[in-house]
Amino acid sequence: MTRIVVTGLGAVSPYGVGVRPFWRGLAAGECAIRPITLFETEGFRSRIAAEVPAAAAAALPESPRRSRADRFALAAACEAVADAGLSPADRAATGLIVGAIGGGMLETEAWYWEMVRSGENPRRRRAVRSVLPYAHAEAVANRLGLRGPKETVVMACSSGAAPLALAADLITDGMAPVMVAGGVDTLTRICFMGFNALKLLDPEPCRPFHRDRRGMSLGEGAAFLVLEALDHARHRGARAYAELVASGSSTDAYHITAPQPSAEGMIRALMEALTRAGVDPAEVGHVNAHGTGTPQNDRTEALALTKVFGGCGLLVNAVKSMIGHTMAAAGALEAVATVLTLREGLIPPTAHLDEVDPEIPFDCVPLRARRAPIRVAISNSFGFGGQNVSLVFRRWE
Amino acid sequence: MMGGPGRRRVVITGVGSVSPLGAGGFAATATALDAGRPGIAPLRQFPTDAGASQLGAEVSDETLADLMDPEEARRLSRVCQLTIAACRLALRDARFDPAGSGAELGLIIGTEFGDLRSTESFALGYLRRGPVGLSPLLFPNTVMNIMAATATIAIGARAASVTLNQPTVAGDLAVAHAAALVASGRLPSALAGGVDEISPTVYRMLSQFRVLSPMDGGPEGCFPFDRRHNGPVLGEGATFVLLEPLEVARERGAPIYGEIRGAAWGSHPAGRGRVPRRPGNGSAIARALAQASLPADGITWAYLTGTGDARLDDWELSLVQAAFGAHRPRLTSLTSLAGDHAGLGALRVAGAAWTTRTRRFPAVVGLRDPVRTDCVFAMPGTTNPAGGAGLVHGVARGGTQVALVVAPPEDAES
Repeated sequence: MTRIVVTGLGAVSPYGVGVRPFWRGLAAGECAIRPITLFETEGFRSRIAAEVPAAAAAALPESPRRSRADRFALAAACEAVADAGLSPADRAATGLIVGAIGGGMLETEAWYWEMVRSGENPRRRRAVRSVLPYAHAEAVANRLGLRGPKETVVMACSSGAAPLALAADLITDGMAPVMVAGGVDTLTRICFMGFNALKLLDPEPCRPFHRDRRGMSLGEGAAFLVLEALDHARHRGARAYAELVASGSSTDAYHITAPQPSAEGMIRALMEALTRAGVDPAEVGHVNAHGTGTPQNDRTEALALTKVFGGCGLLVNAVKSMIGHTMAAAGALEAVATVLTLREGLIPPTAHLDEVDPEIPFDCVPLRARRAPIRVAISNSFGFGGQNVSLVFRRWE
Repeated sequence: MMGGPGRRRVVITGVGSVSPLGAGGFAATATALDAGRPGIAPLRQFPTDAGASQLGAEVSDETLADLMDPEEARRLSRVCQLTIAACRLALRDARFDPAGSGAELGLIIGTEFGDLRSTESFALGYLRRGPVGLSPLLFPNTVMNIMAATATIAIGARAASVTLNQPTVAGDLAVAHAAALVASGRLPSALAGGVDEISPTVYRMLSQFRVLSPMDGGPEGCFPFDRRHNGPVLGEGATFVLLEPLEVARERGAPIYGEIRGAAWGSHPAGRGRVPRRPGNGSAIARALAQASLPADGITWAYLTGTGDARLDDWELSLVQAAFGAHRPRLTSLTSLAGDHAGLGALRVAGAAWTTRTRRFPAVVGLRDPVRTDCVFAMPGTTNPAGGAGLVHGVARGGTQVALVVAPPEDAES
C-alpha cells in the first residue's frame, strides 16, 4: 500500500496571502467576516462575507487573462509547490486537481450585468474567456509546468476536499508520484444571491453548532496541498507535514440541497475513510467539521459523528465561524487547517460559540484555541447534491 | 491490465446515448455509427446572430420527450434531462439495477458548460425584478454538479459521484478516470461519460470569439483532418458507458462489449485556450499502451478527437505519430457526425467497443483532402475493416491529452 504524505501547503484566505497569516488568524480565533465590498448587496437579508483583504488581493500579479480566482489559485499553488521544494524535473511528473465552482464568474457577471442593463455587448468581454472552472487548472499547470494528470472537479461544497481524495488515489495507482490538489473560489453575485434566496445566510457572522445559529456566511480563498508518495518524498529529502491516510466518498442520492436526515450518506463516507485507513473510531481525536452554521447541516453532521464516534472525547471545530464558507476552497483550506492542527498540537476554535446547541454532544472548542496532542484527525466536507467527502490525516512523527 | 497485479479488469457492459445521431443503447448507437448520417445542420433551437456560425448538432425535442416522463421533465432542466435519459439507457442496456445489484454505483460526469442556460435564467431573474426575482429552485443548477446531483437521485447511484469540467475531452477524461477507479476497486462499478447542451449565449459568445467554424474563414462545417478544417461545430447530447469489473460482469451474465485495458491522461501545459507547439514528452498514449501490455503495433485503429480545429487536429496527429512512429493505425473522428460536445468522449468509447465486436470502423465523414499523407484515415466510401485492439484518443486546447486502449470482448470472455 502506497503511503501518502503532505509535503507542501499554500493558502489565500480572508486573512491574506500565505499559510502563515491563515494559521495565525485561525489560531487567534479572529473572525474575518465583514460587510461585502466586491459588489452591491442592497436589498438582501445578509450582506456580509469573509473577503480576501483588498490589499492582499491587489498585491497579487494582475493580468487581463486572469480572473480573481485564477490569481488566488496561482498564489496558493505556487506557495505549496515552493514549500514542497519541487524541482522543475519533479514538477514535470506532477499532476494537478483543482476543485472549483464559480470559475471566473465574478468578472463575467460584471460583463453580463452591464450587457443586460445597457442592451449592448460591453467591450470587456475578454473576462468571459476565463469563466469556466477549468481555467484555473490551465493557468496553474502552465505556470508551474505540471505535466501529470490534470483535472478540474466540481462537487459543490465538497469541491475542495474531493481533489485530495482523487489525487491520493492517482498516486496509489501509480499515475503520478506527486499531485498538487486543492480548491479555489471567489465570492460571486450568483452564489451570494442564491444562498440569500434559499434563506441559508445569517445576517450576522455565522455561528456553527450554536443553539441559536441562523445560517452560514460566505467566504473566498484558495488552498493547495502537495501530496506525495512517501518513498518519493523520502528519496528527495522532503519534509512531511502529515500523512493523508485515507479518504471516503459517498453520494446521498436523496435531495438536491438538503442532507439526508438520517445522515446515512455522511456516515458511509466517514466509515469508508476509517475502514480504508485501518483506523478505529476511538483513535480519532479531532474532526474539522463541515460546520456551516445552518440548523440542518450542523444537526445532521452531529448525528453522523455521534453514530460513528459515540458521544465522548472528540474535539470538533468549525473554522467557517471565522473565514465563512469559502465554497470550493473550503475543503482544501480546512485540510490545511487540519494538517497544521496535527503538526502544531493546537486546535483552532469555533468562534461565536458562547452557547452550544444541546443537541450537539461534542466539545466544539468554543471561542479559544486549545492545546491538544492529536494523532489522528478527520476533515469533513459535504455538498449540495449529497456529495460527501471525509479525509483522514495522521500526525507525522 | 490497467496497471497490473492486484487490479481488476474493467469491461464495458452498457451504453446509453442521447445524441444528434439518435437515442438508445449499444445496438442503436452501433446502427447510427454504421449509417454515418451526420447530425450537423443549421441550428433550430434559437435564431443565430448574423455572425459567422450557423451550424450545430442538436438533439431534437422529440427525441428527448420520448425518453422522459412529462412530470419528471417539468422539474428538470434540459441538460439534466439529457443526463438522466442517457444514464437510464446505459443501465437498461447493461441490465443493471443499482437498487438490486447489492453493489454501489459511482457516477463520473464530464461537462464543459454545465447548466449555463439555468445560470443565465437565475441571473436574469435578479436583473429584471431585483432580489424577489431570484428563484431558489434554479440556484442549485448554477453549480456544474447539478447533472450528477439529479442523476444520482434518479438512478440511485450512492457511491462517489464526480463532475469533471474540461473542454473538448470531458467525456474521455470521465471514462478514463472511472476506469482507473473501478480497476483499483475504489468504485464497485461506474457510469461514466459526458453531457453538454447548446445554449444561445454560449453559442453566440463562441461564435463571436471565432472559436467555432469558420474560425479561419472558408465555408462553415466540421472537417476533421481535411484541408478545409476551420474550427469545430458545436454539438450537444449525453453518452454514458457502464464500467464493471470483468468477474462481476461475468457473474451476473452481463453483455460484455469491450475491455478497457489502458487509461492514461496528462497535460502538455500550453496556457488557457492554446495548443502546444510540439508533441512533448510523457505521452498518455505510451502510458496507456504500457498499462495494456501492448506494443505500438498492437493498435490497428484509433478514434481521435478530430474537432476540425486546425491547430488542434495538427497537434493530435503529431502526438499520434510520435507514439506510433512508422506504424500507422487507421484513424477516424466522430466529431463531423455529432458535433463537438462532452458526450462525444463516451460515444468514442462506445464506438471503439462496437469496432472490437464487429471489426467495423466508421469513416471520417466529410474527409476529402487529408491534411497529411503519412497518416491512414478511414475515408468515406471505402470499407475500413479494423480488428484487434484500438485506441480512443482525446486532446483539448490547454494541453490535456487522454488515451484509452479498448480491446475485443472475446479476450474478456475467455
